[in-house]
Amino acid sequence: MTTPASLREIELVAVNWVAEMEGGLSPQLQAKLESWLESDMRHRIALLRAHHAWERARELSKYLLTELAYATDLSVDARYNSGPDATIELQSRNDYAPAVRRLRRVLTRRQWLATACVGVVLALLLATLSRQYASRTAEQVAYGTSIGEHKSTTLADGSVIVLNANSRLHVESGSAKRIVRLVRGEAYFKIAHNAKKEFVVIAGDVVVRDVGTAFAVRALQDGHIEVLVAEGTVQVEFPTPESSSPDLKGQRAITTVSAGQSASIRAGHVSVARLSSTEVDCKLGWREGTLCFMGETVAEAVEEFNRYNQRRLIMDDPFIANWHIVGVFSAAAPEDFADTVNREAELIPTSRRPLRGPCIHLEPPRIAEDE
Amino acid sequence: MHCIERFADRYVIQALDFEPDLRRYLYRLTHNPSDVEELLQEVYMRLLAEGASVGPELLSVRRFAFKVAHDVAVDLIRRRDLVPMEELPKLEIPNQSDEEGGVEEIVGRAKERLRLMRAIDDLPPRCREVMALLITDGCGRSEIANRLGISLNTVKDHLKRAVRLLTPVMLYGPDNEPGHSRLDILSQQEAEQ
Repeated sequence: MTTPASLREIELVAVNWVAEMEGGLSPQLQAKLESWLESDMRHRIALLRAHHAWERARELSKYLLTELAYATDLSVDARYNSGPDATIELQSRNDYAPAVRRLRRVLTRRQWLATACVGVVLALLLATLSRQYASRTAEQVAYGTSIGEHKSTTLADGSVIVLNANSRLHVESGSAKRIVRLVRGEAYFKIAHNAKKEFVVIAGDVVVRDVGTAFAVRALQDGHIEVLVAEGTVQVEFPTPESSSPDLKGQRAITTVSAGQSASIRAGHVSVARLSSTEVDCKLGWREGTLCFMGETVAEAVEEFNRYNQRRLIMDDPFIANWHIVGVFSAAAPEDFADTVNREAELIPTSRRPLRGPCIHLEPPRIAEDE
Repeated sequence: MHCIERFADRYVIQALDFEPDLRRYLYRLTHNPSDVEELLQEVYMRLLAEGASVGPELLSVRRFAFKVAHDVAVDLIRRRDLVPMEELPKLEIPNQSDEEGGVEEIVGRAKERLRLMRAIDDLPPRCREVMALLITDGCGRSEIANRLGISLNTVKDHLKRAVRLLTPVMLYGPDNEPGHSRLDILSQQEAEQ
């Protein structure tokens, strides 16, 4: 049985060993330490305790030394004088390496966790590799999102495509051109410039040619296409109304759309509008999960929300459909939008409203239908 | 610890983080500081043995440590006096959050800080400079030697001295605010007299 007095002695020896370790152990001292540790389990415990206490002393000192202002002038001196000593410092820090020591400790404690992490990383790596392999072998890669989802993809050439909710596109690579076919929905393109390989987005019968830029293309109903340019310029090519004559290879018109402009192409006609940078950010807000309206009608906004959510917004009262709204909403919270609209509607005298009660509501949860 | 730490040490290392809680618990059961020291050693021995055994990993080192602490304390009590079974203390593992937010813990930490502050204040000035460069500025040791114009061995000596002078104030035990307050010890000594 150990008396408290001898425990105290062991503790002192252990503190001494921690001091020696801090100074760096010679092989002889290391051997001596090992045999001291082997001679009694209590020695080992004492050393672990002393080391723990020293680690805490260091941790707390870091703060206290600054607080006591011992460190300040020296630290300034040290910070501005790093230079030729940098490598020496690195080396000496290496052999000392408290961080490594702490890391080792964490590793021992959390070994299983680390193993799990490695497993996950490996799985991810495998998935990425197989995907890359797939995209290299396949002529065409399809990307799709469902309602409420948006996805970002970096192509092999470094171009980034962000796919909005409920959208689908095909990327054709390997040819002299980089061709993206937008089948449905909306996508934002940030193109890595490559003079030899044109980047072309085809949406319906509209062709958008990139000249090194960032832009969004949206396919609306009935072949209505919208192009919004955030940076640089694009060329938009579309069939003119005359080309819908039996002469299939009819004429095509080309319009240049530059940064801060949006082009709306519908039935062979294009209208180009100039947008402020706020409006551009607003229109591209979906990439961050926000929906921004600047004078759209409630009907349009509802349609927009329904692209992002499985639960649809339903207008009970057509009275509000043509109201114009301005505001930023979270795409994932259609109920907030409904609340806002309903609150506004309450301000209208009931005599002037065909329906009482809420004008708009979120439909109850349901099972998603497949298209 | 890179050179001596072993896998078997892992439970002990974890238990070191809640040593103050264990001390308080043991003191509540035994009311005797030297008993606390001894029983704590036994708890650590068990944790070391458990860490070295081939069995499954402990789900909660904390629970295990408190259970062992309870068992060894009850053993001691029964060895000393004849205590009826029903009067033996039941195992109560203090809630981690309760303990952490507890007044004792806060006071303990504040006192520990004060002790360390005094100890830093008492360090030889050169030794303190070395500490500051190493700890707050993250300088390497040869850089410290260059900066202060002293030899690498002198830097090491200063560091060793800092360890010897600062570590003891951070070790819990009867000298440094154990799991119980100084007042308890005094009142107990009075009672013994």
